[in-house]
Amino acid sequence: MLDRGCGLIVGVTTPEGEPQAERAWAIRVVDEASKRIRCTMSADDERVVAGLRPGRTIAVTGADVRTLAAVQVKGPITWSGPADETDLALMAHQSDLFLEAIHEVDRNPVEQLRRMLPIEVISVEFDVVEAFDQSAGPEAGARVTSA
Amino acid sequence: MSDARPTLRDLDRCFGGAIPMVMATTSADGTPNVTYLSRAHKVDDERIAISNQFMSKTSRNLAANPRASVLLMDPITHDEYRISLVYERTERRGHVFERLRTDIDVLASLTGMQDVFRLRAADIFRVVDIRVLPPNPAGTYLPPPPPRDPVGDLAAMAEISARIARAGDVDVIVDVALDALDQLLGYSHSILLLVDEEGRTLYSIGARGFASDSVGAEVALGEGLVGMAAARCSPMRAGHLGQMTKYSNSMRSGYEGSVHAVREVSLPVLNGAQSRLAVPAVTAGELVGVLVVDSVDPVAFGPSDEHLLSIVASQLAAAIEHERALERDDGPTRPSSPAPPRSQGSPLSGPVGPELVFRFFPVDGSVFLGHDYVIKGVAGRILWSLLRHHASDGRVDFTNKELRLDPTLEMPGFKDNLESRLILLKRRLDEHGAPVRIEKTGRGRFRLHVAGALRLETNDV
Repeated sequence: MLDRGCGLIVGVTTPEGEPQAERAWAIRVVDEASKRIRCTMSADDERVVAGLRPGRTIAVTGADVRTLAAVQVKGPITWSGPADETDLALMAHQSDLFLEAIHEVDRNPVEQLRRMLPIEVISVEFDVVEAFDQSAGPEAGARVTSA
Repeated sequence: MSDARPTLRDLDRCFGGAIPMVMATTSADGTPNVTYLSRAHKVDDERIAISNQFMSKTSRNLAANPRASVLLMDPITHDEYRISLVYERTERRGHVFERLRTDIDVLASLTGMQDVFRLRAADIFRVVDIRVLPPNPAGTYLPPPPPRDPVGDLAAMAEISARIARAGDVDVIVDVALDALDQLLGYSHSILLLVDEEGRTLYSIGARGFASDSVGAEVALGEGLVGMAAARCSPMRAGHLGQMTKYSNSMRSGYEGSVHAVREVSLPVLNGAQSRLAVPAVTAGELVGVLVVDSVDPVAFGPSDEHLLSIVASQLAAAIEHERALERDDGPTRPSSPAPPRSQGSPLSGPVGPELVFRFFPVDGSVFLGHDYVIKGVAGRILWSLLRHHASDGRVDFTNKELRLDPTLEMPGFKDNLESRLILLKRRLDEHGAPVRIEKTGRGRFRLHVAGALRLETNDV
């Protein structure tokens, strides 16, 4: 899915218990055994950043731009901090794939779509403990066995 | 974008369904959930309604924590907004529910899901905060297009009314209206469909701006966006068809096995069409047809287009019904243009030229020229009747009145659309460059031109 152009959306909960929706721009598995995932996302809103402290839970949904087939993973945040060079390079690559896929399907000019890209970014690591099929349809939200 | 906090009024374009919205909620234990939304609508300046079909987890979360966060994007400027919401109530009937239901039905109709995928409820939220997300300066800003010029549109409407009023028969009315939509209002891709005698099917009688065949395509009432506009007598509008079809296809795959195959609809297709608007043509409380416009622009049509085209469609309906009524009353009491003398030596007349093999299938009234399909139904039976008369005695001049009395046409006795069927037949033959043509010679009169020697075969299977 990531190689075809994938939209990444994030849900976090602030310390005040308020949900916040955000976009992520890069994602990768950093440890297969613990199902630890690292994603790089916008840090442009301080309320979102406040919800990314270690110990809090994060939800990330990845959706195939062409089919809207989607999977949501959830788990506790183990670390959050500045994005490194690997994160930024991956973000450049995966965001290009995402924007080009949108352009191919919906004809939106990529140069206009770049307005979506964040100005400040933050990276987050979390361990996947739950995964759900999030594709639109009657089975949306069904638990999947392997993330 | 000014520094002032945006309001819901600034976000109108975001609710068109062009770019999927994102919604986050939180469970009682603080676990977030994030998902794409199918549709949302602005209820008033402080509230929005969100369609609830599959969002069981979201519904459970809202019961525990009524707060939600939604990302919306303007499909033209690509400005993105985050709005904070508080859940208020759920509606399962009423105006707001019906607006959302229509949107969902349009979405479902794109892949034939309208009988399966239905709106369960509309969740109403109060908006407590709207923030514009800082746009990345690396992206290009495209300003929104200027709104339509109401004074110019009014003048165009007056001119279209005048042109339709001057048109003397249905054939001319159709051409005048479609040409005027292009020339005066900028709708360069349009189709007019009329309702058949049984009120079950629409058939296209004319079109502008399409490369493919445009006349004679059929759509069942209730089928797809066009059929739904007819069935509900209500305008149906869809933009970003690529995005919407993608979403609809995704839903469809979830219903694998419970969806019946959709009959292929052969309406002309605009290459790369991203927007479609279908408005019913109604007069005296009766549906006459549907006017359809297409565009490659993903956000081409809005409420003002619905209003403009609804006016044109109503005028078209009234003019067509008026002509039909005159034609049905018809007969010798009405003045009509005298038929010109029977043409002699016309290049399209007489049993000379190549052999023309026409085949007729009584089961559905379809007529083939050689192996090429020509037309079916009432119009097919009319063609077959004319060809039989011509083959037996060389007749070329006919009247609508005698056709009405021909039992082989299976015309409904109480109300027929014979004139429209004849126009459909004439246009279909013209469009195909057929060696058989129909020429109108006066009100209720027409002439058959045949450029060859007829051989007629009936297939009873």
